[in-house]
Amino acid sequence: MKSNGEHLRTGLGVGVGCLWALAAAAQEIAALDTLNLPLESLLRLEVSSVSKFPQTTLDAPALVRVVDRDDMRAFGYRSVGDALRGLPGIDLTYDHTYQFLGVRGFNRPDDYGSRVLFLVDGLRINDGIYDQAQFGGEAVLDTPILKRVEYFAGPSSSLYGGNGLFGVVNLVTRSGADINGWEPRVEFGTREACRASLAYGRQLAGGRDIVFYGSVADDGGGPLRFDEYDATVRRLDGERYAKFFAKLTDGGLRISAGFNRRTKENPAAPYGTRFGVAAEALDEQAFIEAAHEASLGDALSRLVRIYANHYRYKADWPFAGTPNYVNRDRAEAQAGGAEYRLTYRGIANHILVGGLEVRRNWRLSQSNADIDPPATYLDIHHASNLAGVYFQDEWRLSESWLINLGLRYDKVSDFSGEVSPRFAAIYRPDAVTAIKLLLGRAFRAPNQYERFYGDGGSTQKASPGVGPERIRTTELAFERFVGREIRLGASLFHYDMSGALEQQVDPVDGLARYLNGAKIHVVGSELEAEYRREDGFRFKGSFTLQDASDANHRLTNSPRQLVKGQAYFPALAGWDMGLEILGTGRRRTEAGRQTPAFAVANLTLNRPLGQGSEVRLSATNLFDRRYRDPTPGYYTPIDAMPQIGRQVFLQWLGRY
Amino acid sequence: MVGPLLTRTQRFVRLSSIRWGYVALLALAAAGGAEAESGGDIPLRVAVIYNIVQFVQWPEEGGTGREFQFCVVEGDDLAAGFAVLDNQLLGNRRIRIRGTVAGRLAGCDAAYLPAAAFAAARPREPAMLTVSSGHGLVDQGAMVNLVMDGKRVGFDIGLGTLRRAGLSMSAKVLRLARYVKED
Repeated sequence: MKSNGEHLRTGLGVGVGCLWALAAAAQEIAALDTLNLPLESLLRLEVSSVSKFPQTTLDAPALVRVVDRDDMRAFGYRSVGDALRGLPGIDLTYDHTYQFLGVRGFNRPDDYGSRVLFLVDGLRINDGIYDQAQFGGEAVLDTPILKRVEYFAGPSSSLYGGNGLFGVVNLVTRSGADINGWEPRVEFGTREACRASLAYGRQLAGGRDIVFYGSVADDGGGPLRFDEYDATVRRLDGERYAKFFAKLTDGGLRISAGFNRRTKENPAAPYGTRFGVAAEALDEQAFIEAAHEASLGDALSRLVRIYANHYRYKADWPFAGTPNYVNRDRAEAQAGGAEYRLTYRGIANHILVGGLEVRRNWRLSQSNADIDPPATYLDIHHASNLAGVYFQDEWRLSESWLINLGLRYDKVSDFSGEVSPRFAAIYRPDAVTAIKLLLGRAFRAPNQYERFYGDGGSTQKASPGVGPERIRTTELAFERFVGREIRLGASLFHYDMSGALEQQVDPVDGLARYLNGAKIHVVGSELEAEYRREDGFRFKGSFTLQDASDANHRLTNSPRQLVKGQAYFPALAGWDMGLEILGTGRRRTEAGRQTPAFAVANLTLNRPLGQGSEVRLSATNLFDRRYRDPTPGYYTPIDAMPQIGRQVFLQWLGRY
Repeated sequence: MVGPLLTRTQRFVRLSSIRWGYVALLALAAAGGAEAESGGDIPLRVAVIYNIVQFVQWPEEGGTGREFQFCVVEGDDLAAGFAVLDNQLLGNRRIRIRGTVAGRLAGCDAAYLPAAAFAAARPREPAMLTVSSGHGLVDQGAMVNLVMDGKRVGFDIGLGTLRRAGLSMSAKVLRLARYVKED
């Protein structure tokens, strides 16, 4: 499949013309064989020896961060969230149902990840009801099938339309050639955790490449202390999931499909449900995609993509009453869409991209009802359409200057058209340095949940009148390699958000509903340094300082500082070791209190057993730090959610 | 819009402890110095050059017997990799790799000079293709300049210089170039 971040690079408008099939060409070719390859193929080969860094390119109109398989192994990353958590500027919070991705100080309590675009191999996965990007066990895939996780902060509406306000996460799946055989994996952990996965991949004669993957998990959930209830609960925090993925690549054609069903118990009595009884939520996603990339003559290439996806959500809320009763939320979304993109390189120093995208959400259903005695409070079915047209020019002015212009027009049902421009100027004073000025504007139309959800006067009501929120961003970024072993990065950013969709309580009836809120400003800076030695030792550190505020206050759940460090030691008496330390500054809660600053350490030890198999011993939250994440108002009286303490895992991985 | 933005940003940087981070980072960045573009997969980079050269036309193509003089100035690891091209065919001409120094390029059909040597010598011979590998060398007169783009090899073309030397290049190559400088 596309390698070296090709999807994200395409998304960013760099190196657009590359074909998947050719990009997968073998990397080790004898000198004389190489001579006889056509130039187009040579330019797509990756040079592995030039740098140990899994970099994409200094020319990208963003600071692109990549978590590759080496990192996933070294630091024992299991979920997409684990992989993202270590990146600069990201703070991940957890309410025992979902992981919420905070980007650059912006992590709103009622936001289900709708401001981050979530892609699998370039295909949008955010669902049609909540626009949710899911990162933990709820994510559509987990790490054993991922080649890399790519991330950049910043708006992406100029290429992708809505959702990409704060950043883009792209999961690049492994190819059959990468896996090359069977890969079973079994893991046991404390808190009654048990996980297994099996991957099969092969490149067949004739270049066809196939991948099959399945992964299951059953975490019993250990004890959690809730001071608010003066109680410790056990076995109310369980999680079970099953994920499947399959992919066929044949020349320029790729067909892939994924499925995930996850159930998660929540012990924290959300929405005033009974404490001591788990609320249970089910999330289910499925997608199928066919994409074909072909070259139409020397200068023109074409990408066609068609896809369908499905999302289902069901949650049971155990309420106290006489008798006790269960209230059930359901949501279901089904959508199909197509994209057509042309890339033209016929004008010297320009790479022009034009595309058209249509999507039909043919089923957008939400319901809320009591089970017994039955009573229905909400039962709505909608449909919506989206059409977008985009254009991009990557214009190389000279050997040192690159301009990237992007523009997209979107029309979403019920809302007027939105124009999203992007401008990037990239200056390369020398071969190892890039200085970038990045300007962008992005929008997000309110989702179905924000507009129409209501539970019959219990906690929340519909707000059909809300409009889109918009963001304007300015970023100055610096990247530089010092020698072959050191990479430095710095970024200074400023975001202006208007009409931010936030839950507010209506003083008249005490019900929450979404409204377009006040202006939000974010100003901040990220600094990072990375050192990779030939022998495999590496260290990465980052410091983020940010200030996200509305007119009056710093935002809730917004840490002013984030400090991250990761070190990997390649050989310690037959083991290799990855140590990760993640520090988060104090955060204001909804109730106006502060959660204290904290740091969590994660330790991973790997020991190769020969023939590709290995054992892994790992501990998350090694020092059993008791910390809390600010949490939405619907967990009252819990203002800050207690997090999971130390968890120890033992894993075996085989390769056949 | 720009005014308040700058004010807020300035205030943020000034007030915050992060300015010490900037000091440290800039010190580190300055310590490195711009290392010349080196390393990488030598056979791959030589193959890219070989491929590009096949799409260049020289003013008077020699007969079948005449050898193609590819002169190589020593000085980087890429220069050492050119040996594999010796005896390869270029159309109907056989390539002869000839080690030389920057001042003695007369009679060469093509010449590779490492970045530093190229910048110092800026060679110009009629009907001679100049090839180098480094940052910003097309501006200094290189006709073909190899650059690394992430982990891939790319190249820039000094088309104006190339034409003035009496050479021409096929449009196919120009489309694959990262940057083409007309003049």
